[in-house]
Amino acid sequence: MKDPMLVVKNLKVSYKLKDRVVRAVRGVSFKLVEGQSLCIVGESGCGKSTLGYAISVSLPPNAVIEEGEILVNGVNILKTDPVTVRGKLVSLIPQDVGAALSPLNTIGEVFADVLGSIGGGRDSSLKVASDILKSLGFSDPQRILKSYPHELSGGMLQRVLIALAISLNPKVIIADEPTSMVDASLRREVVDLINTIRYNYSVTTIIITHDIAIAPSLCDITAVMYAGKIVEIGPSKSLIEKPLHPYTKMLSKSIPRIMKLVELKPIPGLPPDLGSPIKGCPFAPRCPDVVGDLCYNVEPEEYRAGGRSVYCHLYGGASHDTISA
Amino acid sequence: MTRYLLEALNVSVYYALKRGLLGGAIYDVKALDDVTLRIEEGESLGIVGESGSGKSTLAKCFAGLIKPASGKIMYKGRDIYSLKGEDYREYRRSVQIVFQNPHTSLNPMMRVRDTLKDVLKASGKWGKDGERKLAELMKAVGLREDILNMYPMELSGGQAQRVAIARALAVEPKVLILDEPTSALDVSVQAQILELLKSLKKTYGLTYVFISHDIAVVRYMSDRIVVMHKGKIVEEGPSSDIIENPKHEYTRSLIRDLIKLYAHIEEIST
Ligand SMILES: Nc1ncnc2c1ncn2[C@@H]1O[C@H](COP(=O)(O)OP(=O)(O)O)[C@@H](O)[C@H]1O
Ligand SMILES: Nc1ncnc2c1ncn2[C@@H]1O[C@H](COP(=O)(O)OP(=O)(O)O)[C@@H](O)[C@H]1O
Ligand SMILES: [Mg+2]
Ligand SMILES: [Mg+2]
Repeated sequence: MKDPMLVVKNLKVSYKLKDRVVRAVRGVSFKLVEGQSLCIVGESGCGKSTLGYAISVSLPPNAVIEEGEILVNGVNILKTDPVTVRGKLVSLIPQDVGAALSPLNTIGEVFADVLGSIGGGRDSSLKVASDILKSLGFSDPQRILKSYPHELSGGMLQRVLIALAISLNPKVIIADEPTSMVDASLRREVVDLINTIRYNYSVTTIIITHDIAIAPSLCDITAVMYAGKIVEIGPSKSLIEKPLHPYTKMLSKSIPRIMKLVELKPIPGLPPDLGSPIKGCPFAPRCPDVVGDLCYNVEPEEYRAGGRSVYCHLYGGASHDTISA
Repeated sequence: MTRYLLEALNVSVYYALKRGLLGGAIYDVKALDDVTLRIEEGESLGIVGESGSGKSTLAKCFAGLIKPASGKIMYKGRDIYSLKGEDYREYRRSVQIVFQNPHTSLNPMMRVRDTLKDVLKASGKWGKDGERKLAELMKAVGLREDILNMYPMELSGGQAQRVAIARALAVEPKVLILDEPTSALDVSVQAQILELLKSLKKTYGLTYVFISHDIAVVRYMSDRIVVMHKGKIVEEGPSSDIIENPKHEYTRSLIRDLIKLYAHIEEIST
């Protein structure tokens, strides 16, 4: 077994507001080895972005890490100067690509700035940038380097941001909803691009998405997040094909299929407000398979089988062969 | 009397586009190129195409928000630009449009109650039973009544889109033009809104023009699909024909891309 490249241990992150505390990440743990990729899926408001910001040390000022550890290549990044972590160990590709770059600088200036931070001169920086852009499918990198962000299409900007994210050879890259606001035709391109960097740069990747159906084409492993916690995690293909947690099952039934007309079964209601205390299983109020009071009162523990972990009372006391994943 | 409720006849639309910071050359973008499309009362028509293919421009032409450079938009067989007085008001009331981003299409300074009240008043439907109408509208779109007292900013994306739908329904329209109503929402909220729209269609006998870049969503919502590419209609037909037997290469590529991305979920038995 290889040493893990990324270890997240019992991570808890809160936002402090004037009158209350929002517990956005309530105890998340997982490990990834070099080159492995993880999809984090779930509805809006479940803490996916907060988890991504924490791992890329880019949380907003009102966020507090209450507990936990994040190790990248053995380095505890929560106890390290963020300047030596951001971009160098972990890079974040933000959700809003339009707002990610200053309108006043050319793409070349941005690259020179980023690569300059590790001591690269301007010319060598531009050479490196041009090589990366070329490897990501830009036929004329020189023109891109001379462009301002507004002169590029959304798809091109996304490509540039991915190039920037890998430019300092980080160990871990996190992309927040890279396929969400792009149209279906462009989505295919973005997925191919992410897979290119996964394989060509053997970087460990985390992809955040609300779209569980896209997970197998992007990542080896999928973690389903609900109310600030992982409720199910395992190899992407088997998790989609044989979901165990009722939440995972219902997420899959929310997605229209193309070849077969299958009636959608939306999950009723909304995820819980993370600013209020949560008792028992957070999914219980929306769950079709509630097993009595247990679900409302006791938080489910981890049950493991076949490389899968699931947190649900349905599997309470289940032996390894009853939940074969 | 025609059996078509709405028609676009040989419609072309151009946008003047300025290039370069200091003006520079002026190009015309041909957003719609000789488009003809007829919509029957009671049908669910889907329009699919990539971003920039002209879907929103066509939607706005149908809703009377953009006047075509050439061609005609017909409502019940009459050119909408020849309608006067009550006929024109009836057309504007009967054809309602719901946009992608409810947070920008709702007035941020107005409580939900006032947004809906204004629309009812403007169409002469606000009377003694006004409050009851508001309660019915909220119920129809699956929202609690206390949301009437909130501002759009306090609502989730799905709740705000339900308010936008309620506003469109308030004037008792015949046609809803739904321009990417779920593209900004997460998949589970999308499923809720799609099911809501299906049930509203049945309850009120509405005609739908449902627009999306996602051909799976369009298929789910429509009896008939129109595929747009670069301002033209490249293929149209019953939904199942378009999906199972696409004729145009562009339609095939739309389907192929989705199947490739969603292979695993496509294969799950139900
Ligand atoms: N800067 C912030 N200040 C306060 N609360 C926040 C902030 N960012 C996110 N939250 C809250 O934290 C919770 C988790 O949000 P987020 O991590 O964005 O979830 P997701 O990415 O799954 O939609 C939500 O309740 C959200 O409202
Ligand atoms: N207000 C506008 N000014 C200039 N060009 C526009 C404007 N609105 C749309 N366009 C252009 O017209 C074409 C069609 O756009 P649109 O109807 O919005 O397509 P879609 O809704 O399919 O994405 C695109 O090339 C777009 O860039
Ligand atoms: Mg998010
Ligand atoms: Mg549009």
